[in-house]
Amino acid sequence: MSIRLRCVPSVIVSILALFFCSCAITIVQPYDEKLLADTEAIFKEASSMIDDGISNSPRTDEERSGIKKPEDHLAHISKFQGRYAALGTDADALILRALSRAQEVDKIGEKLQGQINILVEESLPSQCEDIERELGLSTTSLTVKNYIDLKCLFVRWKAQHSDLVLTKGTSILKRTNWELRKSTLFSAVLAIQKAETSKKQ
Amino acid sequence: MATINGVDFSQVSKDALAASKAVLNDEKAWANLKDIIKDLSHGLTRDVQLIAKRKLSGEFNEDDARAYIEDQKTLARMRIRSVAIVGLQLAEKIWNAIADVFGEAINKAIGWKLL
Repeated sequence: MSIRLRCVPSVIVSILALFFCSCAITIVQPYDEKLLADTEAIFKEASSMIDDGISNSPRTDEERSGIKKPEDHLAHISKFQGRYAALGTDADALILRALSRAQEVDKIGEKLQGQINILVEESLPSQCEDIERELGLSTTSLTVKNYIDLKCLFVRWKAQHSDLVLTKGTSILKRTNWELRKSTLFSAVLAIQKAETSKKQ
Repeated sequence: MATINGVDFSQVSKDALAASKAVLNDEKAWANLKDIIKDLSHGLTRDVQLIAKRKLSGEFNEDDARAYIEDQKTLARMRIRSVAIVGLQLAEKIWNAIADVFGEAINKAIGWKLL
C-alpha cells in the first residue's frame, strides 16, 4: 500500500505536465499483427497437445493405477517432453516479440502499468517468478507480462505432469486434467487477443 | 470563457468533450471488455459443471482440484491485465482526442505552431 501511495504524486505530476503541453501520449504498447498471428499459432500447438492428452489418458484413478508400465504409456510425461519444450521456446519468442514494442510506451504509461502490476502481484502472486529472472527482464508492460504468464501455464503444466502426488506415482494425467487445460488455454488466449485487438485502429 | 484571437475556448471545451464522448462510444472496445468478462462467467460455470460431474463419477479428486486452482490463479492475472489494457487504451484515446482539440486551439490562439 505504501509503495502505491508514494507513486501517486509522481503520476499526478506527469498527468498535469501532459495537460499543460496538450501532448499526444502512448499509454499501452501499439497493436502488433504478427504478435497476434503467433499467439494463434501457439494456441493451435498447445491445443493439439491437449487433444492428444485427452484421447490417450485414463479416465479414473483406478484405470490409471491398472497401467502396468506407466513409462511406456502414450499419456506418460516422456511422450510429451518434446511438446512442452517446443511450447516453452515458442512462448519465449512471443515474450521477445512483445518486448520489442514495449519501449514505445511513454513514461506515464509505464508508471500506470507499473501500478497495475503491483496490484496484480499483491492480490495474485506469480507462480513463475523465475521466468522473468531467467530472461533478465524488468518491464512494466502488461502485454509482456501476459505472455510471461502464458509461458507460466506451460511450465506449470509440465511440472504437474511429472508431479508424483498428482499423478499417483505414474507421471500420467487423467482425461479431466487435460479437458480443464483446454478450457484454461482457450480463456487465456481469448483474454490476450481481446486486449490486443482493442488497440487495432 | 475567454475568446482569444477568434478562438472561443468555451466552444473548444465542448468540442473536447464531444471528442472524448465519441471515443467512449467506441463499440469495439466495449465488446472486447464484454467478451473477457462473459468468458470469465461462462468458463467458470462450464468448468464447475464438468468438475461436479467428474467428481461424482470418480474421475476427479482433491489433488486434481488443486492443480486446476493453480491454473485459474494464473488465468485470473491475465484477465485482470487484459481488462486493464482495454481500459488504458480507452484512456489513451480519450486523452489524445482532447489533446488534439486543445493543441489546435492553442496554436490558433497564440499564432504559433507550438503543439
